[in-house]
Amino acid sequence: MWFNSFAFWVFFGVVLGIHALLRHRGRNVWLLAASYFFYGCWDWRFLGLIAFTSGFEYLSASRIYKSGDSRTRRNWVIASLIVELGILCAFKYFHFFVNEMDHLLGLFGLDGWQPTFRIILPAGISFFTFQSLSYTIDVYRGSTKPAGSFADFALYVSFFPQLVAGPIERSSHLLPQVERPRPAVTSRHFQEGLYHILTGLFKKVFVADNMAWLANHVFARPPESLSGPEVILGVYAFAFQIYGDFSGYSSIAIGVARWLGFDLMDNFRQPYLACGPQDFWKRWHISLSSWLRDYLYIPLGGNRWGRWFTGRNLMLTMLLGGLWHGASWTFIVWGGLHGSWLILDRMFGHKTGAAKQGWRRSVSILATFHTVCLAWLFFRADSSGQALAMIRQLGVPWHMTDFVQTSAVLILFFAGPWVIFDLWTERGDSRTRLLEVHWIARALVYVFILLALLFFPAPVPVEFIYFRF
Amino acid sequence: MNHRIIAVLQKIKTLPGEGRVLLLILICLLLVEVAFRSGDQTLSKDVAHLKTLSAMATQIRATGETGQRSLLVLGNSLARCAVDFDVVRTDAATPSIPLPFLMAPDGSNIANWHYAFRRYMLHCKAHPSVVWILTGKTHLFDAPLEDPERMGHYFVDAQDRWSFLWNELPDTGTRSRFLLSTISTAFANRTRIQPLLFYNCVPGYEVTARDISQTLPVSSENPNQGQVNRPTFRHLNLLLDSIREAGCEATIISVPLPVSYELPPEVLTIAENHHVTVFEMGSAPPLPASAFSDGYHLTTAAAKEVTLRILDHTRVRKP
Repeated sequence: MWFNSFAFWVFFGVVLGIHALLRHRGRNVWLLAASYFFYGCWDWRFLGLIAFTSGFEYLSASRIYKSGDSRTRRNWVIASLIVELGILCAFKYFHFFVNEMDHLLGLFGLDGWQPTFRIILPAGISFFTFQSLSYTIDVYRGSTKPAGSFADFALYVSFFPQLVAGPIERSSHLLPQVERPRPAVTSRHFQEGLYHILTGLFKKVFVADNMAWLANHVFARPPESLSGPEVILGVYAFAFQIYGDFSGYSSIAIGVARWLGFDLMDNFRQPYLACGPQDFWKRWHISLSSWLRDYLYIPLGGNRWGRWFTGRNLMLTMLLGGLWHGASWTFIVWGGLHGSWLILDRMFGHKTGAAKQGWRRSVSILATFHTVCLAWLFFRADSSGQALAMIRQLGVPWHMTDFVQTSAVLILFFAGPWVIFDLWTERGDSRTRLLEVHWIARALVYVFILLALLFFPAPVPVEFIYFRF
Repeated sequence: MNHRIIAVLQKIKTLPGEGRVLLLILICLLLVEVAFRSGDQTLSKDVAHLKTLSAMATQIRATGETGQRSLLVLGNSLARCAVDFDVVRTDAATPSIPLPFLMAPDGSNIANWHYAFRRYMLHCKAHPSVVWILTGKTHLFDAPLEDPERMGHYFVDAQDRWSFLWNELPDTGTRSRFLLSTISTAFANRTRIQPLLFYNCVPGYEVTARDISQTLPVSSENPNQGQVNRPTFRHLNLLLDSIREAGCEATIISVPLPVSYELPPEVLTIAENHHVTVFEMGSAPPLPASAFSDGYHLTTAAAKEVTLRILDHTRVRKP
């Protein structure tokens, strides 16, 4: 049940209608049932997994909270880490580790073991395990209180708008909204929800899916058959595909939650207008980058023990951030590239984006965007070999092809309006600047969005990229 | 006019919250709908053809009322290119000249023909004397429905709507698209705008689209794609039932393609059960490559020859 499918909107209409008729407790139970139904539509077999995760974390956190013994508290948090990360590793990384072990043993002339079964990856496992883990760690740290009821906690873990692709919420932010009676949905809530839903659908359906058509073609061809401009345009197309796809999903999630009276955290803030890697990671997948910062980078020591340890911590955080995306070397290389870039940025002490103005800022934005694109090349490629072969094609004589002409025009046509909108939003004070303009202008923007959704669906339907993570 | 627009905007302005935004959006969408309803026949030759079907049904009914015979050629672009109507008009036997009519929507197959026949012929009491069903190798097979919008707007009528909704459509998504298309012309034709714009305005689009379609799968929605199953013929049965109900005489004709092919034995059995004759031109030795204008559709010259052979077979040619 994709957010951009009619089935989801029928489902959401029913959920919203009944939700409006209920009181606080009833609403939570209803949302929990709806969330389990939503997840069951992906694969009902994994409902047990999400129920187990919720139950175990609820138990761990309450034991941690009740225990006065620091050893018992530590044991419970370690158990929680082992169980959650164990589940993640078993479902997500099992085949990767087995394959790599097989290769390694092969180097020594030994026979490895190949399983005769395939483990299916549950949708959104990386998101809900990280969200559950943050709760237990926060309770351990004393920064949040445990949930009062299991039903509330189960809803916090499985809340359907952000269940399968985030934003990865923190217990200190979302759990109180679940537990306390939520204020009635106001016209402002409705306004914000509409804004997020329409812009989210625009980014997913108009920008991302149409870009996927071009990007998938480039990455499906043998690298040696590509010209330099084709590689560049293919990577541009993927850059806009992944941005539109993921930020579109997050926007829809935020909008849907808003109409239910919840306030989810921002996940994207015009990332392609960042100046430098630090600025980029404050704007891209904010819920993951802040999670990695708070639960990995800072516990590792952060930047407290000098330059070398800071570099090590940055690299470890980014490598694990890469691995979080999937069990593949390309994701690890992607994380490594970002880690190296962050280290270099720190070493040479670049100014922050806010300090740069005028042409310096424009040059910095362009340089950042292209470095991000270089990393996307590894992220999207099937193997590092393919990515390197595509980079090599940049060196062969360039020639114009029909694909180059077409894709240049299509990237401008599909991504151009969104880039302009991002630039315009960036210049304002508010993240929802469109809500501050005259209502006729806003209505006309919405009409443009609806017509774009209506008349420019992608030639091939594309699933949300981050559902795989 | 300006005063009216200003008055409407003034009224909208007084609405609370985002209500005025929603109302203005609704007005704009209604204007788009009106524009589509008044000019959808200019979107493509196919839409223009589909828009003529109601008038054609009226003509067939009138023909029947005057005692004149009529011939309905049912198919898709293969049929359109395979039958020369001038030959039919001039070469058919004088006492039984059937007035020919063409119902051949682009890219259609047996499911479209079945519902189109019911909507425009059976339910309009337009009963052609003779029906020729022209098919290629696979057009009589039941196939997954890929375009519920087109079905909802142009093929399925109100009488068949609910049975179609529950029996033919697999999920809520396609059902919603189908229902929306029954009320909105803009929605039903929404996928026609992009190619219309890009084929005409984007340099190299045609070549690029063709290249990409060869690299990527056409649709990732159908999970059964690629599975080789024995074809089924439910819609053929239903179409022949409808034709029998309308009292028409029918012939199934396989159109020559660059490679010879035979219709599956199930088709012959179903045809026999419905007392329908089958003329397998597709199984004859293939025509030369020059008989095909684009490697698939017949040229005008080849169509003349093919039409004469069909008339010979159906025994309505002048002696």
